[in-house]
Amino acid sequence: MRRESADSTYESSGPEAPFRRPIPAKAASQGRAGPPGTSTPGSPATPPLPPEDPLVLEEIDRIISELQDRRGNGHPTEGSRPWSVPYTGNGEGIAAAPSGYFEEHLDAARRAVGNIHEKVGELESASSSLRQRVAAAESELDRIREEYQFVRSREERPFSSSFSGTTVPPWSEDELGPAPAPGAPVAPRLSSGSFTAIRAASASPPPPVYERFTVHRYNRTIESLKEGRATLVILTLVLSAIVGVALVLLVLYSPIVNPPVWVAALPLVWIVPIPYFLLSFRGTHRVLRENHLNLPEAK
Amino acid sequence: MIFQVTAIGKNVRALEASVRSVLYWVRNTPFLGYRYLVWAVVEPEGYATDPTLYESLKALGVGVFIVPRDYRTRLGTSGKARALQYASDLRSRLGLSTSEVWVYHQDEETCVGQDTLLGISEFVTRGEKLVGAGIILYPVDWAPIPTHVQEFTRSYDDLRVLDSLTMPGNPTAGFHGSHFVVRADIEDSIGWDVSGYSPAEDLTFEIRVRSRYGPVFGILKGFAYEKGAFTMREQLRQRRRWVRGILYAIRRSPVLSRKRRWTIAYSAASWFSALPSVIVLVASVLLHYGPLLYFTSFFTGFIWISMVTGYIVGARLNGGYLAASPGYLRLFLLGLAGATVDVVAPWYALFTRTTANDFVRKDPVALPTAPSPVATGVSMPGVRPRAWSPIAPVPTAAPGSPQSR
Repeated sequence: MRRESADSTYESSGPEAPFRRPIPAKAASQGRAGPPGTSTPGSPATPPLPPEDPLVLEEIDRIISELQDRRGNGHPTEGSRPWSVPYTGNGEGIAAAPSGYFEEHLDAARRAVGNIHEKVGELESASSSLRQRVAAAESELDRIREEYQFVRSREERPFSSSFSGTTVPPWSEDELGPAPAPGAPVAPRLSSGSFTAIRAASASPPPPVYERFTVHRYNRTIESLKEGRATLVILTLVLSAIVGVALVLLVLYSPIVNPPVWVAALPLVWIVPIPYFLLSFRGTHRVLRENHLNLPEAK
Repeated sequence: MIFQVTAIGKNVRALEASVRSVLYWVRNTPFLGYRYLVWAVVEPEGYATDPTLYESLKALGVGVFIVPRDYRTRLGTSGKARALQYASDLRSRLGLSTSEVWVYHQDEETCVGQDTLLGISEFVTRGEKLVGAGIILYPVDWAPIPTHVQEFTRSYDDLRVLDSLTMPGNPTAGFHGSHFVVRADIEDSIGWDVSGYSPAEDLTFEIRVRSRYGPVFGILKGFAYEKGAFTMREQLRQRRRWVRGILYAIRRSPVLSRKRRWTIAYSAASWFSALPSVIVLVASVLLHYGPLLYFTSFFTGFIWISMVTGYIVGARLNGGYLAASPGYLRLFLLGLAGATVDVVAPWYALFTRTTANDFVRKDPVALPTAPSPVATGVSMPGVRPRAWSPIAPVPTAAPGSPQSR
């Protein structure tokens, strides 16, 4: 551990990182360092000795050398400054020659940072998804509560049917096989504000067209239609009269020929659909006038 | 409540969206007065189109039922009526043909909204009527093409359909093949089985229900959300099927009263008169002959204005669900093109044949290069009309159309 600390110091040293290592108080006082891995550099309980102590620094160099020998080779010592060499303060001997593993370690560090970034992103995504699910679940619970109250109210007031008195649906899921389960993966709820936000935040395909078919839009369409009904009636009749007059004028000011009788009778075909159109006109406006086509808007 | 999608099943993306719209909104609409099941009843070839998708729907709890190839009804019907009859038999076997079970019928492209579910809830909770139908909009995969603009008039025409449907005798003959809810025991007591192929099984069903139970039809609040055909050719085939269905009902519905038969025949005649009206109008201009206009001028103008109104009000209805409006001029031109098909359709139906395998594509084959002004636009050429008129050069809403889809 001690050695690794020293290595990392080598690799990261620079003018802005003075080449100084804290020395364990015990080791310093005994004139030697403790066994590798047992010292506690930087421990607040062991204030560092003055780094100028040559004995301490030499001891460190010796330990480093021994550890290098035990490992056989490969420790980057080129260009590194022994601990016993005093720091001159001009930049020389600090980190003039970077470690041969510098780039490798830098890449590793970058990969580590990248991994951390990725993990953080995943955590954020998971957290967001979880929040969405919780919001959807809460919304479902609210609706279930409303539905439950509604069903309870229906139980007290059964269906009124002028054709039958039976009130209990005669089938069950067991008889019919799987019914659409409440949790079936159907398209998500639109009316939920939280879900709308979720959808907007995600880069999913556009929502199906049927999600726009709300009762509010229906009521608005029906209202618009009914509000314009009177105007429509008046306009239809007025414009019909205008067109009729124009046709009469066209006939009056056109040269008239006297065709054979069978040809003259051909325009009778124009009369055929007149009753049909009159009935249709009357029926259309009767439906709009006599029926309350609006629906109660669901929450 | 059974949300039942009955289709060939080849438009798998559209079907998936329909099913998911149900699953989504049942979870996001509180205070629904029913429990629900979701069924997809498809043909084997539809399932084979994308088995993985159907299996994924099963995993969501959807009941995927494949009509066996060897399934035969008592009268040997074919097409969609056969699949509907199979579902009816299935309900009987499961004990679901009761007065407490309702069936909401969807086509494969019928998406529901929150309003749809609340409308259904209100309807079944009130329980005053046995069958309910509502208004259908066409904002799904909308694109500024003639076929889709033409669908605006269908939304407007649904107001007429609802009035007619709730009147004794259904005087202007209207009903939906989708976006209607019916009590299961009523549907199963009527059934969908007919002799041979019925091109407009929904009209046949409405006739039978009315014949047996009387005026039990009510207005279903809430829209359904569908999509139009992507090409004029497919629209023409769709309209042809409607016309053939009307003719089939007139000729081969034994339960049809004489009065009702005349009513339907008149509605069909109104539609058929569109093309001759246009031809006569052009001839009158060329021949400088139009004295009849002295007598019909006001009504002629009324018909023209009514058709234009269909586009404008339909655009307003659908416009709330579209990100951008095509503009009135463009709307007019696209509608003009779209209306042409509806003018021609009944006559085209007379000289061509429709089969049980007629298939109208509802899955877009190409994605839009740019985001559609609406939901997911489809940059495909196409037209889809429905119009006709006596003197109108620009027919609009196919009168007499059973609105079958």
